[in-house]
Amino acid sequence: MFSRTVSLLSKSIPKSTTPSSFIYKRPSSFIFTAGLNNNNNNVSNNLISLNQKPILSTFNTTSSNSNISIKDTLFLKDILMNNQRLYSSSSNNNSNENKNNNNEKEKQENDNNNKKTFETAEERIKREREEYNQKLHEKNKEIAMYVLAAIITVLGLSYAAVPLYRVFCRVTGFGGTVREQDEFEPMVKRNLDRKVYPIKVTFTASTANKIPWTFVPVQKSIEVLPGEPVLAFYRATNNTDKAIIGVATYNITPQKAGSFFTKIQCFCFDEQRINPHETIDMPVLFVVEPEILDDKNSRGITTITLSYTFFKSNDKGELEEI
Amino acid sequence: MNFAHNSAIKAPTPPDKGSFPLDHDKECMETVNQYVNCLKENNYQSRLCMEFTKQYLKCRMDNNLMAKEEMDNFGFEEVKKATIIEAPKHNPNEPIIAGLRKRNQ
Repeated sequence: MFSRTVSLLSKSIPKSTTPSSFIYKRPSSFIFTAGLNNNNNNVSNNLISLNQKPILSTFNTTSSNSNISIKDTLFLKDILMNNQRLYSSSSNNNSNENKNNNNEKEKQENDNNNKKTFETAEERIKREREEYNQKLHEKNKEIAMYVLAAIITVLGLSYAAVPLYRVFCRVTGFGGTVREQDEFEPMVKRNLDRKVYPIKVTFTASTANKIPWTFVPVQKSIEVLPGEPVLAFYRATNNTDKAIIGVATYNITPQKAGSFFTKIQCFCFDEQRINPHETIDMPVLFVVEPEILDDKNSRGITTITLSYTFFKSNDKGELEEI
Repeated sequence: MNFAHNSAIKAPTPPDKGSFPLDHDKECMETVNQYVNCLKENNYQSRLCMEFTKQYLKCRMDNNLMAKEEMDNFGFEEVKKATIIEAPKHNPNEPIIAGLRKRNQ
């Protein structure tokens, strides 16, 4: 192979000089001359792969000096530039070499192999730095993927937290969430073998400005003995032509008495449906605990007020006060 | 619910027997009117109208508007054991003397 290279060169070179005797001052010339002189020695140089370190020991320098003409220098300079270009792109374009002619292909292959085996320190540093940069780049990509996944996870959790919290509240009843109860606790009988004094319980029903129905208590007040189950009624009339669904809440005044007011059964916190032009009697069965007479905090309470407020619940499940 | 560690105020509890279903068909209307009339006559003292209360609750249970419960469980009979006294006079502006502990009567 090298003999052919030599023969190509020899066509344009004057016959007075032989290719094997060219010597250049430039460092790359060593590569060239070493390649040329390989036709006799060390054929293995041609077969050294790209990743191997340069084998400077196989360097061959010519023993004799000869005269070099200007034409030769220019021609050789072109060849050198060509080889350098080929070397820099050899690692990427090895496949592209197949498109060239056979002659050129072989020549380029030869030159490429020559270049690969004799890599200088600068080029090696460059190559290693590039590899390091590439590794860093890949590591960075990996970390970026992990961070992106973490962000998406946290975002997803924050969206999922809304229904999850609702389920949690419903199951545990945390913070006073209304729960459905299937079984009721057995009723407690209060011991009334003692002195008691009556307490007056007043009833109020509150309405807001937009009133599609009327909501009043049937009795204004009842005199109650602590421990006695008492029945009270509220009357609601639907004055519109549409059925209205409402939810009622209640309030106890004074606040201290709230803990002593036990409701056995009422019509609160549950959706109630009233048909158009219908009047409904809604009962409340309650007991005032006897402890209210003993407790220090509730001393002096003789009147308790129970006030109901009806809210209208529309189709969307929202509440509007009526 | 946090009531700022005020032991006088307890968290609200749901009704013992839940919510009354509505009496749309007015099946127990009669007993309601009887009870209300009794209250009017007796100066709205509920202990004198216990019979009508019982009748109303019975009507509800018969018409499937209320969970069945023994009448004794409500505690109507216990009321008869109680002795009714005058409400003690309580002065809301009673001064608090520091260091003097009041005992329960």
